[in-house]
Amino acid sequence: MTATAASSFRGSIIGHSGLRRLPSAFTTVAFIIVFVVVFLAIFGRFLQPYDPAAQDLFHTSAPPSSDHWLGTDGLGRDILSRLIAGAGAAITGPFVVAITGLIAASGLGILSGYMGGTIDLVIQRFVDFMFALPGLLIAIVVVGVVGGGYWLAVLVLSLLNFSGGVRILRGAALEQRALPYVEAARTLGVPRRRIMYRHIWRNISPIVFANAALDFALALVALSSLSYLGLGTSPGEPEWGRMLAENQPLLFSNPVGVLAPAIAIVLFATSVTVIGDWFYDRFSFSGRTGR
Amino acid sequence: MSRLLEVESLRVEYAAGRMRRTLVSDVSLHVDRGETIAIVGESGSGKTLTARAIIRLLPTGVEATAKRMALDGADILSLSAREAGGLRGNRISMIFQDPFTMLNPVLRCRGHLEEVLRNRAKPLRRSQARADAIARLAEVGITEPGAADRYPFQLSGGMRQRVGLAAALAGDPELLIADEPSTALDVTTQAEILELLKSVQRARGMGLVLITHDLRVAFSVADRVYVLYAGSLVEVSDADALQDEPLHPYSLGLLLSEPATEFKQAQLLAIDGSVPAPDDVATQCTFAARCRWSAPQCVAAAPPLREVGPGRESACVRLEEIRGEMTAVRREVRTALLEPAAQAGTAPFLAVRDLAKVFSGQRGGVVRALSGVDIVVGPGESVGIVGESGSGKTTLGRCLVGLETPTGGAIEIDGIDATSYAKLSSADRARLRRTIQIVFQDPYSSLDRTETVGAALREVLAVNKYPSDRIASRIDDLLVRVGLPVGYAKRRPAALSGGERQRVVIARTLAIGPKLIVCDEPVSALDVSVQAQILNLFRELREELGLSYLFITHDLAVVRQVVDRVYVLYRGNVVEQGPVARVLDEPRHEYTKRLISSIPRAAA
Repeated sequence: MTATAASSFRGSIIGHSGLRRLPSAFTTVAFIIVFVVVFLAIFGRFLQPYDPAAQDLFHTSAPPSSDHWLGTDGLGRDILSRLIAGAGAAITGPFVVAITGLIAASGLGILSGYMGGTIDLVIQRFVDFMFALPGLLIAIVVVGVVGGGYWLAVLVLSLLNFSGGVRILRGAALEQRALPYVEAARTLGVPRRRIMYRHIWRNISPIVFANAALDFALALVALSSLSYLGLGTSPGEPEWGRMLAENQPLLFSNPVGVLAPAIAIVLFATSVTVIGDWFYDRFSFSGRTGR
Repeated sequence: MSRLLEVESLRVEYAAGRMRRTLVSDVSLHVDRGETIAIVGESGSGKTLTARAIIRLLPTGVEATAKRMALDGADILSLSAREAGGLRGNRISMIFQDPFTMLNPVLRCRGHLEEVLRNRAKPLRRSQARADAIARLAEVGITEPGAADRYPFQLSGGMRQRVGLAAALAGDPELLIADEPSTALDVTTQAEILELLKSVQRARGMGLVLITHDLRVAFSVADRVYVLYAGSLVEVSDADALQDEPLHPYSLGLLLSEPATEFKQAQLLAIDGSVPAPDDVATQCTFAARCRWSAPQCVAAAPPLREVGPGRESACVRLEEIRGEMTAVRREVRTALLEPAAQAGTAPFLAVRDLAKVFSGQRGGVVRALSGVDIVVGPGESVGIVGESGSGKTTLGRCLVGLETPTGGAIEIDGIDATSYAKLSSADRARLRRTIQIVFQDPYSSLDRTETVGAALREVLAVNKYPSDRIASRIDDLLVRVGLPVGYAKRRPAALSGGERQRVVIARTLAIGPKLIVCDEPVSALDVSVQAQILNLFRELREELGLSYLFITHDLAVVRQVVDRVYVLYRGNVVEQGPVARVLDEPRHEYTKRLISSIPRAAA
């Protein structure tokens, strides 16, 4: 017997569902953007319409045309080609920063949270110290004094970046440590290292990866900033932050030259963050049934 | 008596995109003015959602439809969200299960009431609201001066539940919905809260809907009982009549799987399997798969509720044929087992002497969890530790397996000094692990949810140096041993029910081959029908493997069924001990007497 409903109503504690559904379309776009950037980083050299370094001094600062889709810069280089060529630098550096952060934060954070006591104290004071350092400023000074270079900037950022992750993962590990599955593993004789880096790590891995995605986006912006200041990549190399600086004078002749790398940085950074978020939501075990 | 609430053909669904899942199907119920009804069911039965649909507090994505829903004759189904909000707190109120999260921690007790009082039609003056709040707290038994000005964290669970009740009553509702109001509380407090609910309901002449999983609680408070299973009603009856003779196999099963406190049952009747999803059983009797009387006509069509006696409805199509058998089963299960006298004379397997544990708090405060506890467990003996929260019973169990280090006294297990695990050699620690193990209360978090059952068992076998070529067959043996199909090794915890998870936890414990298992409330997180399955498993394992148990529990019925001797723990001290029959039948200590008298029983 099916009841013909006279009337119906929905659950109405805050229209949360609308907010939750939005990211899926959002996330798809983010995935497409990241996919495109990765694709360009790998196969970009075959797709560039021009050599990104080739100068055409008769067509400098040209606005977009059918020959140069995004126009040319002050030296007559094709901006589209340079944008494509910059995809590699936009991925490798931030990726290295995110991965070193992931490894260091997982290692130290879980160790700190699970072991407690003196080990925790030492790691946390170290992290406090790292936090007190003004990160980007140090990067600017170090890179400026030692003499620039993309990989030096990546190295400095990697070292300065991971302390936030250590704190986050320490908190997450602390929470897991008190759960019965960890205590059961202890009483069953599972070695400490295995409890920390297998059981706890796997249970908090959504946080680990979401945090790495965030690190990636921040590193992308930081590296671009350094290049913008002329401290990252060496002159002439196609890098989005550097293009931003180089093309600034073209703001009135070919504004696309400035806007394109700026938009690329913002879209890519945002997309990575969105994917990190999605990953966290998707793989977090919430509730008791953990479906 | 006039109809206060009428619900006809309520249906609750979860809808996300194209996916729809039925949670409650076709539930009709009514509450008369001044009447108490109980909605009884296990987790997943839809009892809470039914209540929440009435008060319109459904979770996001959950939709309710009904033919009719009326309060005092007036339709409440077509009210807008805003109008429904006006209904809540004023005409219909609800109190919730967890008194620890129900109150706003930054609001004083009276604040919770003043909020409701000042929100009513007439604006109240501040002083008047305060006086009113204090008067209303007195109604629920909070008379101590100054109590109204305390914050929730300064109160016990029972007190908080009282404040919650006072706040729910502040709008003078005609209908109160109480969702498991006593479940999270200690036994003695539980009885007080139920008593209070009953007396407030009588004094105010309001309607009360009590939601519970515990038939004993329902019988002690309600006039009529609705039994809900897998989203649909299987039986509706007067409470007394239901207690005398349940007229649906599920109600019977629920009643019988409740272990007895008065005697040791020869056999605990368990309902095999677990509650199905409503959609899977939409076109048949929802209980057919777990029913011992299931026949072809049970799965042919969904049986509607039909009148089977004065004031009684049942959804069982075979009721007339099986009624005699049902009565026989009940008689059979109620036969008592002769309780063996506790063995004496053998050397103790576990000896705890003068054990003390003091926790020092952050601000220099100290908590004495245990002081001077002496406990002995003989080989193959099953010993119970009974006490309420804060009695130190869990701390005791944790000290035994090395999760806590006692601050005084001594523990000796099978000849090893286990007082401080940290001071032991690793060989001794490993030997202790193979001697004593623990099963925790919550099967949901006792397993690593990222690994399969097989991986969890393999890990324990591997780290304890089990020969690697025999691990696979040992895993199968263990699963069979705890009553699970071998194929479960490939499953992850999320794909298991609570009872199945607890079986896996037990299998993991057995993998190490312990002689003594500390069971810390191993069944209290499980549904009643599943509890009996697990208790039976514990009984079987003991018979077959000669295990000793240290059963830590607050539930006297559980103690009666699985334990030979019992220690009663109160505020870190053993106040009474002896053979379980003696302690439960002739308690000597005041506290034990109070514990026993607070077990919910039907109103006389």
